[in-house]
Amino acid sequence: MQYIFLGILVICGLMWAAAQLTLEDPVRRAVERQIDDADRAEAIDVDALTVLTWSTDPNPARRVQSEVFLEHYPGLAVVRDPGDMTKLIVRAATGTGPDIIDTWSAAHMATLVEAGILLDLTPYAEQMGIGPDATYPAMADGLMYEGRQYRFPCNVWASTVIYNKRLFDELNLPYPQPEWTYEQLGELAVQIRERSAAQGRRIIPVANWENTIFFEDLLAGHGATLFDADGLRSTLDHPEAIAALQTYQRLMFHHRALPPPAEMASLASQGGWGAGGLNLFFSERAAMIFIGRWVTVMLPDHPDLDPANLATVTVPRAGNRPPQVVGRARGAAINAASPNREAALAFLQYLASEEYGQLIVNDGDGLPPNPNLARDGDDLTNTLVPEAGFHDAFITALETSRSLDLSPFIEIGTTERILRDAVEYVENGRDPETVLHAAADEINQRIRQNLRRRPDLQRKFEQVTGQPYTERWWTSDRPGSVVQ
Amino acid sequence: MGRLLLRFTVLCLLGLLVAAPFVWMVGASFKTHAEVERGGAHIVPERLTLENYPKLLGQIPVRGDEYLDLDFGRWYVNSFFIALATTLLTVLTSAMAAYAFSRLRWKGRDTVFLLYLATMMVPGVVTMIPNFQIMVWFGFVNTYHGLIIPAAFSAFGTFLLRQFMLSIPPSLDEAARIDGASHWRIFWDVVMPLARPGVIALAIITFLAAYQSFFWPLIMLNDSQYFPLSVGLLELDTGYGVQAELVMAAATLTVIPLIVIFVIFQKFLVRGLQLGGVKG
Amino acid sequence: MALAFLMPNLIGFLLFTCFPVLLSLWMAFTNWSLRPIQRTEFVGLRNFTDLLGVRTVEGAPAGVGLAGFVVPRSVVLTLYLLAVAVLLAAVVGLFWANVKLWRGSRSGGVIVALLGVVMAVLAVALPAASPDDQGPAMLVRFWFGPGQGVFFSGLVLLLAGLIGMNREDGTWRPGLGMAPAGLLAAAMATLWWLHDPMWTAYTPRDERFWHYFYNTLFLMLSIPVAIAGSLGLALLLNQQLPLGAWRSRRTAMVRVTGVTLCLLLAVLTFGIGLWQGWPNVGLLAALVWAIASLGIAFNIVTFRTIFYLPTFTAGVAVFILWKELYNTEHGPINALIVAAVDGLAYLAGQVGVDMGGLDGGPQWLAHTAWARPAMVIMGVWIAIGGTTMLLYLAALANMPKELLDAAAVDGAGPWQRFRHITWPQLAPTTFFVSVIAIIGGFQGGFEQARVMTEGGPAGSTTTLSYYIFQMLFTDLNLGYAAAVSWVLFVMIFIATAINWTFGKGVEVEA
Repeated sequence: MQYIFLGILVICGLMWAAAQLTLEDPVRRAVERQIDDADRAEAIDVDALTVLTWSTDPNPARRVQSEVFLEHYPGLAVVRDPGDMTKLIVRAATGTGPDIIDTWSAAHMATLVEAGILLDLTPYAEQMGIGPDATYPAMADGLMYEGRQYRFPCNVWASTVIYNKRLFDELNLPYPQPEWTYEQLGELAVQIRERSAAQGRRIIPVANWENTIFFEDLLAGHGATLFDADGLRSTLDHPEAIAALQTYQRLMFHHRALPPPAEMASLASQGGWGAGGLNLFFSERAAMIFIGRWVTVMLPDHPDLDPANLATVTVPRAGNRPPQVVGRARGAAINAASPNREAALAFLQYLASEEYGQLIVNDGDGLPPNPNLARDGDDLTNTLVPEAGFHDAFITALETSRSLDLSPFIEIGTTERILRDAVEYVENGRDPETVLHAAADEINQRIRQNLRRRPDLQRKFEQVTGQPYTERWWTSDRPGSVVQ
Repeated sequence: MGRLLLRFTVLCLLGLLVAAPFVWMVGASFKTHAEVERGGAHIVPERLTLENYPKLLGQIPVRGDEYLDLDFGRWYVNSFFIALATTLLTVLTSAMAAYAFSRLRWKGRDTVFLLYLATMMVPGVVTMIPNFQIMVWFGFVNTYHGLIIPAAFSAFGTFLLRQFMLSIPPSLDEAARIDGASHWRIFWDVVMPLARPGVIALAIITFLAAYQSFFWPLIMLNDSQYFPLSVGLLELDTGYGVQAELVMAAATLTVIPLIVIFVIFQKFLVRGLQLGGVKG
Repeated sequence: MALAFLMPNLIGFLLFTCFPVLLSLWMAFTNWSLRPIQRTEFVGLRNFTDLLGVRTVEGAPAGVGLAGFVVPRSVVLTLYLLAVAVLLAAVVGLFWANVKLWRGSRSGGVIVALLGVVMAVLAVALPAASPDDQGPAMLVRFWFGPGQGVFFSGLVLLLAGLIGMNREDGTWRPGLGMAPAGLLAAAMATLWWLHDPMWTAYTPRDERFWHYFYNTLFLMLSIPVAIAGSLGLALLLNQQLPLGAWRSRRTAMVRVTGVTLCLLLAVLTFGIGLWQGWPNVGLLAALVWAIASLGIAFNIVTFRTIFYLPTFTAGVAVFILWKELYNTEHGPINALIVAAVDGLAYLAGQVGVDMGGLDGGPQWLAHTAWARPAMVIMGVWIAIGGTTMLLYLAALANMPKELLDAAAVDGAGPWQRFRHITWPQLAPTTFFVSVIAIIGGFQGGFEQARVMTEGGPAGSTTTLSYYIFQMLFTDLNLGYAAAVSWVLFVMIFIATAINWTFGKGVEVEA
């Protein structure tokens, strides 16, 4: 028996030696992979490079973006750091981690700010041209947390309706027109259901790719907020928010515009983030989808779908309100513990540059952060969708968008979880009003508990309200109190 | 005869029930992207395509002129190396500890064993951050041994082998001790051969767990040259949804060597079991 | 000497297991958070009271109606906590009584079992009878309403009672063993009575914890099924199938012929399936032939490998796979259910009973009430042929054959041999397997929640381990997450301790 163990030990040793001997310099490797031209890659002195690690998705487009960066900022290279939120938090908690961190939403950024991971960019922003004024005004809030800037967008987007003209023609229905309402969307959906059923097939009116994003856009469209001005009380039980969730419920169960979960589960197949709904639309089984321009990066995966059949229109209005959605950005932030701060800032500067913006225009990954590169649809035409009219609505949507408010008094993750549960309860047949009252109640209780437990929040409370913190502050005639 | 037929049929049908989802996975790896997207439980592809495997290995482009740039071969070797080394160390240390817990008498033995048992009851998620901190102190981040060494001291393995060694009659090693054999000799020549079924079971369990481990390598590694397969396959998710047929092809490739190993190993397993039976 | 053997493991154990575990224990008593702005302080038991405690409902009156009187709500709270304490003590007592073979524990078990059944029926019937709820909303109300706790306790009681009944040398006469069972029943009734006044005045501080705790327990229903199934498989696969008879004198020629024939049949079935436009049915039939031929050629090795397949495949692929199987409209599971119910309805129609149709099958992962059972079924599939089977096989191989042979000579039937020889001999393995399964069950559900459902719909598949994960990595509350995990630890510890006492009892009996 000893000999078996010894034998395996020897095998392990040999494998280890082989693995170690074949290791390449990771930087050299990364540079070679980024640059197609072997001679040019050879010419770069790897030892003299300052290497930045960039925590982002494994999208092939990142390779091109890294290559152009290396071209314009000689001496700096970015290497992708694979991983997710868990890895970031674990590494940051022990003071290590990547130099540049991609954040997927304002909430994601806020969580990392709270964890003390992100560098406050405010002192650098102005002189380096990466301040909030370098991008869309509607995006500014989404870059800030409590008045300080922590990230700069890589690409920006806001939901817009993309519809399939061919399906509308086949069903003999008029295309959706700007200035339409959710009620009209519902009626159109009923028509789509009826006529496609008459033709012996099933066409889903709206592909539901991520239900909480749809609901957040509805909240924005109905003029609802998550918290009151001080962030001390949830406003999910206010009429606007309830109306938004009721619209969601009506669209799903009354008009069947959005497929109810059971239908969705039967239609959608496997995939990653919202892939089920995206597949529905791309395989031409859904007439419309509410989504950002980034979705066009997926067009090459679906050669059967002719981009000429696609057209866009702004999202419907809620009653008489102007159409409005939440503006969103994937933004790069800098690790506060990064030893390469200067180089990382240069990377952020690169994101604001024209070269980078043009990359985004061409590969269709959302809109470039620099608004001057996307003044109208003509600026955005690319090989994926050559028609300028298609791109127009995305710009309008972004310009009129707003960001969703956050409260410093409650964990962002908790808010998101409560919101998601509320939507899913309604999808399971519960009444929107009760669900949102319960959600608001849970958030309020949580805020109160957090305030009781954390002196730092009590100080913040005093800053925000200008009044001393007391036990049972919510019962008195104060902002956020029950009396209001 | 009738009973045998019944037993055989039951086994075949149960086998079908268990194997069918696996066959579905293999089937899906031969489907086109469009067909996988359409979903459905059917196994046989409507349009058979052989392209997913070369796509995965970077032989033909995924779309346009984009190739997947995955280090499949290296990841395979990494996975095997890490799993093998972990298994070796785990089995060795666990067996020795189990010997101490089952064959030797010493003060505080049961207390220490209870401590071992107790730590198994603490969910692993919370210990992740302290554990990573230790790795940073030791400079183990982004290395092979950072994956192998923390996994090599298993309370589970100790528990399992202790249970096994307890079921071996103590008369055998007492006889050996009277003959003047040292503990080291008894351990290797008496107890270990008798505990072989348990050792093999532990080896299989440890190997599989190490081969499939995902979270710890993900957190520990930056350089893709150290990746095991489980982490490397994350690269298939491009942020805009995964191509499920490629995932299925990758999963199939991941599993096949395990099946081969198990089939080969099975012989040893059976022999080990029989030997144990004869002597016990 | 012992130290020399223990050292290699102990050093690593202390460093990589003990130290982090102790650190997390300390964390549980602090407000440690990953927010640098928050100063880490020792907060005593605060995390635990926040987790397990109750708070008063905002605006609820100070007095509560109880048995016709208005009493301060603190009285209700005290009574409730007392009843909970008695309940826990009674449960422990019941197990103890069973182990000690107290006289009368069997009749106590029967009474408690009956009580459990009654309570379960009540729990189902009461919400169902209320007129304002109809359809699926009623179902939801049943699972989330107050009834579920009682239903679940009833189920536990039933099990406890059955265990009491299982004592072969117990008597039916009432005795001291009645005491724990009686206390248990009294505590249950008190809790049932106090339920409404208690929960109108108070509400749990962390409702999510209780919801997720319930989910965790629910998913653990797969454990006994998986263990029993694994034992069954191991018994089937313990010995080589005596296929010699089929192969007549085990000549290689006949063996090869048999395999070839089966494989030929497989190809043929598949071919016919393709030709008939039923390729999938053909494939499945072909698979049976292929398994059969492999079974003839390699005997039990084939089946062992096949049953171990789910363990190999474990991970993302399995979860994607099951998502597809649970597909509400064209998944095979629902296709079978709908076909079966339609068939029944047809038969019922023949005898003049209108059963009504079925509007599709269960909604599985899409519905809050079905997602948990779906997870349980998947859990059984994953666990049944895996490591547990392997361990049982190893244990069966180690079993002295003489005992069984002697019993067979004495004329014991297969069931008696299993009951009196195999089962007691397997006790250490069963003990080990169930300890591991319970530990795994309490800590489980994390991967599938992450990959398959994100804990949804509406948190119905979020288990405690996923909750800990959320606490850590999205809420950054290290201290609180550690507290949850230590509460989990205590539960696992109690379950293991009960199992331990029980396991000892079985061994004594053997």
